[in-house]
Amino acid sequence: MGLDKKKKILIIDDEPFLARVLSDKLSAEGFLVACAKNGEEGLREVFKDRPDIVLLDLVMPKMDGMTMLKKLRRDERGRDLPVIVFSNLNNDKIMNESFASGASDFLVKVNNSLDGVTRIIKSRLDS
Amino acid sequence: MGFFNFGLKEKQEKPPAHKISLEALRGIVAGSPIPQFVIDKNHAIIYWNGALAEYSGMRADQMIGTNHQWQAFYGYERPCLADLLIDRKLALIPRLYKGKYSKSKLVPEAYSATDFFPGMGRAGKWLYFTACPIRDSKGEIIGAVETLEDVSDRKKAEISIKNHVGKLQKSKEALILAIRDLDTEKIKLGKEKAKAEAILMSIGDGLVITIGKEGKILLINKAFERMVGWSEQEIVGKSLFDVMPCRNEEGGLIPPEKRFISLVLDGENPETATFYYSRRDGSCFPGSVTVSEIEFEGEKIGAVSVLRDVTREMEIDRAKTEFISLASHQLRDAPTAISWCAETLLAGSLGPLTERQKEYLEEIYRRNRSAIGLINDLLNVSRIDMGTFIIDPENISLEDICRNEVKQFALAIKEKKLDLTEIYQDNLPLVAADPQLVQVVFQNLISNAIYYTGEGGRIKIEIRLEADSVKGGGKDIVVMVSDTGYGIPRDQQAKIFERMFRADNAKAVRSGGSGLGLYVVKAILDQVGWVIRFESQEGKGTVFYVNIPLTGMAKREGQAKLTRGVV
Repeated sequence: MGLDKKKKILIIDDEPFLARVLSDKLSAEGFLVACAKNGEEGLREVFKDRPDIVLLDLVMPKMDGMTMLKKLRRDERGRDLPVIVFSNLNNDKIMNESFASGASDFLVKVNNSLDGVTRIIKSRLDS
Repeated sequence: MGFFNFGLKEKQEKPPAHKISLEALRGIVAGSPIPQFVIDKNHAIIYWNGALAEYSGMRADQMIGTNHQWQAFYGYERPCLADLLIDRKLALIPRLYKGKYSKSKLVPEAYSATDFFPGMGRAGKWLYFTACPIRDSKGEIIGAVETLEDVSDRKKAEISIKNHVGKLQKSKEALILAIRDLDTEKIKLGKEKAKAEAILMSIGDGLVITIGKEGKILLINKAFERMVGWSEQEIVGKSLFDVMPCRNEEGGLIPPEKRFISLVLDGENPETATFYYSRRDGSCFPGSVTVSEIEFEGEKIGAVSVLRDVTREMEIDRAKTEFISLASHQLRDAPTAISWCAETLLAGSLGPLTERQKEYLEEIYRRNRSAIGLINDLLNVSRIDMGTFIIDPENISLEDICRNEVKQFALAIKEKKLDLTEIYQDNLPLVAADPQLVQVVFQNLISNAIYYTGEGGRIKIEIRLEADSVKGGGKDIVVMVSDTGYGIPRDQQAKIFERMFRADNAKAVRSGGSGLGLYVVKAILDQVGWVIRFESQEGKGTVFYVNIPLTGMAKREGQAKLTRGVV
């Protein structure tokens, strides 16, 4: 377990309430949390203050999650950053595209409890 | 001694007027090879030559002086032609020799006739005879001479020829009739061919008939022309593979030996599928193609391909899928928030809860999960209805998938104190099947068994190899899920696989069910070709059987995989 520094999670989601609930939960679990409300903001946040892991929603205005992910991976700074796609979209095409674009995980929001997501984030960060 | 003036006009020559002595005349008549006889004006035979004697079998000494000339020819007494000329009974000639006589053109006063004499020879003879009166120098008839010629052979030949001609004529008529029949048939066939061609031409789908493995184009219809932009005469005789390349979804070219036309000639029976075909101008379109072989005298000689441009259908499907994806995405927003809020509250993160608050919150959480399950089910159902779910077989262990599903329900099993047994036959073969689809099927059957069995009940899950396949042709693996639960009432059993159907007793027990579980199971199994059946008794329990052929499932392309439901 990483004891020295708190790990930072960047939540990129256009739904303010859901982002807040997630943020509260993860903070309570001992993480540093930052939020961005679309892909554009998200990229800025990543390059400003690099997080340890990103929770990325897909359907967002200005720049959607898939575009942001691709741009992130094209940049040197974003190549190795773990990204968990966290969306309520659920079809094969989107999942395949996400993994092809460099996502580490694809989680369907509605099928995962807050506890569940936390567990998965922790295991990702540990590996 | 008299003078005989025969009255013969030998062409232009007049016989010399000097007398011909009787002696000389006798000599001429006697030595002639032509049978002849002479009678006087009293019908008495005065000359009967050797040729006639030999011919008739009657000697001269028998005949001379008599008027028995008829004896040589007829079986009864009647005048010969010579007799009629003596008596100038010329009117009798037509009567006695009707159709058989003619007046000589060469010799004045001479008559000729041809007749058949049955009494002569072995089987009768045809004689051609000429009679002519003899006049003296004063012009008085003093006798008549008759010559004969055996024309039997000639007549036989004539008759034979006539027969032949008759036969030929009949053959000719028969041929003409036959030709006329053939013509009628030809016209009929021609009409049918024209009709068939008209039908083919007007079929809305594109049609191409090819011959042989090279896919040589024999015929195309108008719809095909429009589809690809080639006219019939431009491509007839060419290979379809050259004229219209075919690609799969990923853009890979399908080689000639893998195209349906080739497969079908190899004896395979490929199912209708969609490929991307190139038009004349290089553009591409998605086409649904069905190919069947053409057999002729037991051999597969070519193929009939029916092609349908499905651009529009695919667009509609894509639009539908996108809409459903988007809609379900929107639908999930609220339940996500509810779920997480309830979870946070129940965890006590926002302060301690009273017992009743906890109870209400748990209800919120539970109902919400049901709603989420329903949304997932609906999404699956739409994919099932559209037949657009992907079937992606891998070699899987049914036992592993089943065990995994059972684990997911561990908590529920424990809470209801259910006695769950699993029996898996040793060395069950792997099966080519889509693991996700199998998962959905197992999940639904197991969750039903758990939900619809009361506390303390028993559930048994068994997978084994059966001796006979339910569809025939080899063995099946049978998955059996049985419970001692509430059962399905007999009068509701017929509807149990219906969409949104829940039996009355089920509703009483559990309010949250969607009625989609078994519908989804049945629809999946129908579409992959597996069989499901059940036995149930209300109050006693239910057992479901799924028969899985060792051949598993066939691969199918589609829009998306089905969602795993939520426990």
